[in-house]
Amino acid sequence: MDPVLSIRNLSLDFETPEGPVHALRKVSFDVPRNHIVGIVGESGSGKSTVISAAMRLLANNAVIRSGEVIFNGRDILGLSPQELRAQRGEQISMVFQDPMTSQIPVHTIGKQMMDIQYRRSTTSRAEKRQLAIDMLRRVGIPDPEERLTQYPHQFSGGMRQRISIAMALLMNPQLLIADEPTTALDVTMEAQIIHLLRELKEDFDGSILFVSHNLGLIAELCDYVVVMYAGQVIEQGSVEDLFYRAGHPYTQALLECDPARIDRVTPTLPTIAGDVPDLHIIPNGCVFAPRCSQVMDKCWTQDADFSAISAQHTASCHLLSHA
Amino acid sequence: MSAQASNKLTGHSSSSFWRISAISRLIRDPLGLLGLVLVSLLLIGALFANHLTPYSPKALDVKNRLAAPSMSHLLGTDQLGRDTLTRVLHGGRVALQVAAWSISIALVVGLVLGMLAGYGPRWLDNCLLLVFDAVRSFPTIIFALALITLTGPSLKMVITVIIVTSIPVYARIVRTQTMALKEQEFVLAARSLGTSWFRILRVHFLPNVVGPLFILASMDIPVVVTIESGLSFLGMGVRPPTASWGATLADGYAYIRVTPWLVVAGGVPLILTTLGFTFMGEALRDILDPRLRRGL
Amino acid sequence: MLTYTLKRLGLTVAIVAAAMSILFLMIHFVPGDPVTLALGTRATDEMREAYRIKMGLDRPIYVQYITFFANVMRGDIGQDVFSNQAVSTIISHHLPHTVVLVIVSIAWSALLGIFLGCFSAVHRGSLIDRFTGVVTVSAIAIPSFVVSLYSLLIFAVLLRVLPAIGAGEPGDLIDQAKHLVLPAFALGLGWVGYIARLVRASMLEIMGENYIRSARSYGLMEYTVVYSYALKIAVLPTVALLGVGVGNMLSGALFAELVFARPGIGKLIYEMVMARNFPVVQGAVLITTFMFVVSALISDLINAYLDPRVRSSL
Repeated sequence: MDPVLSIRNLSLDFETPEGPVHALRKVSFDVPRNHIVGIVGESGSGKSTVISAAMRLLANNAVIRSGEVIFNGRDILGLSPQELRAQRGEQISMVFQDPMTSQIPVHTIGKQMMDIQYRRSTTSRAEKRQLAIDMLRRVGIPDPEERLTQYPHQFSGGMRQRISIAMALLMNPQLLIADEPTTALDVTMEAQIIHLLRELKEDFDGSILFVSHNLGLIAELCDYVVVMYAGQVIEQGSVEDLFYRAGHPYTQALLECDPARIDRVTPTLPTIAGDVPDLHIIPNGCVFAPRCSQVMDKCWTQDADFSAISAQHTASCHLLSHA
Repeated sequence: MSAQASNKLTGHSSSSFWRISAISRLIRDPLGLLGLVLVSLLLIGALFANHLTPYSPKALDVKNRLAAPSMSHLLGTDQLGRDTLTRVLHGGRVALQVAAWSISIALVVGLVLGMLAGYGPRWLDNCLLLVFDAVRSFPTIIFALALITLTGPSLKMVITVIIVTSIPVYARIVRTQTMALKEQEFVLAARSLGTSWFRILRVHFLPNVVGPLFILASMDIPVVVTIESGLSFLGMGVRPPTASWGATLADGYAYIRVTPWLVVAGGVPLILTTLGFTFMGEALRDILDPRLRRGL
Repeated sequence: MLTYTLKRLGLTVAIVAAAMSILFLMIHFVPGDPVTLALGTRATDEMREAYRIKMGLDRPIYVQYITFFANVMRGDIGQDVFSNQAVSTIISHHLPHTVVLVIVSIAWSALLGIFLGCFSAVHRGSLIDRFTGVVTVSAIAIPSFVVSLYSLLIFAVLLRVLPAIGAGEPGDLIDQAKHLVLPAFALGLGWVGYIARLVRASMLEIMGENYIRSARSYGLMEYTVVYSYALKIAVLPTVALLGVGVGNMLSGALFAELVFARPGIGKLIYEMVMARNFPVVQGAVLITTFMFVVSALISDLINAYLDPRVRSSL
């Protein structure tokens, strides 16, 4: 079965007064149908940029240099604004990071949920209202009939994120993109939202593309993982592959740094030395070389191709191509 | 602003350099440049009014009254035969004098009252705010007319009214800055180190206040010129035979069915002046502090 | 909401009281004898004495102050010395014309201003946006009485397409509307500029907000996003501004009424000032100030009510 979303060799720049920032370089990965794919990376790795590209909700100064974004078999990079709008909400939709600024403050959530259903021309108002109520109940909002008449600021952060999820799923999209949906929430809320997403995926029979910097969440929720660093995909595979048999030194370092995995008490927390590179200038060699604990001479001059560690597990590192 | 303050800490005087770069950026903005040109024209016209035309603004020539523009009278003559161009140039003088006096006095008093309100006791602040709001609640022209009914028309009264109605606006800005300064912890720290109030005011307070006040004052000039012209138009400002754009407009209005030139001659310099200062003020504001650009 | 309303109401009362006090101080401490002002220089001593007693000018200052407030609260804002009519009656004859003019001016300027501001924001950076930007700044800068004079000159005197004088035949709405065109245009022009700029700035800020991005991600139509969502938030500050606009326009209306010889409170004030008829002038100042403060209060309260965030937090 073809994947619902397929990103192939996507390269994207942001034009700035100081020159172009090469935010994405030859990014490729697939989101298979009915699966949850996670993108993990630090701030600045490009994970938010790639999903903005998938939704075509990029900033004005973004320029796509090459590549394709194939959604349901169509390259959406060539679509007109009307065609894109037709897709959004109905086939592909998104939940954003900050629940407190994600809803229109001056309309009731009932009105917003009715507005989202504007394409259902054969459905009556009462039916649309019922659909909204059902969806709110499904995401765990108590007293949904009451809630429809309330304004967003009357809800807590966790509730608002549930409402965002309800709104995103209202039109039964095939792909739900979640951009760090729990980063702004406390840990209890976070766990509930993750459980909710898992249940919903079973219900609505679609795929989820889940972006996070938190490895624990990725492990909880996802089937496949894509690891990004400095605008490139450096490893991807199933959750088990990545967590038990990580191929790229960056992934290995990330796993070591995860506080949940620490078994020895040390005075300092483990970190990865160095800083994320400045994406104005892309070096010839591997972009992780300055911070890599296993760096070789070759790494400075040549960027590595993807090597297959197993059927679905690939990573771009010279260490692997030697094997 | 912060660049200026931090440079003061290092002891270098960058303020003059900073002002030069602001002016050069002003020139590069087309509207700002236009504003600068118009303002310069006004200043030159006003300063050299006596030398630019062969006539005196009071010289009568009743036989030639209400003449259309010609080689001898570039803007024509008014109903008493006086050369309109000369009167217009002298009117510019009046406008600038009123603006200079009223804004500078209002700034000084506003500064004092604003600091009193910001730094003084709460009850004083509340009283002053109430007075400010009360003064601002009178429609300006109507307030001016009421006062002038009591005292009789004169330019001094016009200046007084403008001062009184401008003070609350300046004082509020100063008050806000003063209160912000009061809250800052570094003031306490600096005081505990024995820094004099004078130094604190000079280094931390003045730079934050001078910018907004300067911009406000330059945006205020067209407003003040408008009020003076308006009151002179009503006959409540300058006394004849003193020239003022408003007075020329009033003359023009009386004879509007006879000749349009007086109205044109009185209105055009007023329009050019208000546009000039406004364009220049806007450009300066964008350069000095784009945060102030909130649509108004 | 109720507490907020009461607080604002209380503040408004305090401001009006303070304004009245300032007016009182002005009358009594400005050089110029009120008796001479009222009666003229040819009044005899008996007339002056009679006037003093009638006006209560022989009483101590604080008594006069209290009487002043007491009178105003009863609705008595003075008596015209010449005609012995109550000032309030005189003003009530002239006020409606001004009110009509101000309302029409604010209405058209708000509508055009909101439209221009929204349009400029949506087409940001385009030639139309930049052109509108220059035009709005100019509209704000140019004094409204100059606009009155020039529109009179161009449309009434030179082109003769619109009437120059008066308010039109009473009862003939079309005629009255024709007479409103030029004055309302002159009064409203500046406010078109203010409102357009405010709406544009608000819209630009709002369009960059996260909730607009969310709305787009749900696939909503662009016009829903812009007009139903963004604009609704953007016009809220405009409502508050309109209250201030009324005060501004009362001054401007004075000039418009004079230039176009329209009846109204502005023209009344001017004539009374020329005649040195201070009681009427004082009454008019009180009324116009009161109108300004009340309209600012009302627009503030409406603004607070319309914004659900403010409404439930109060």
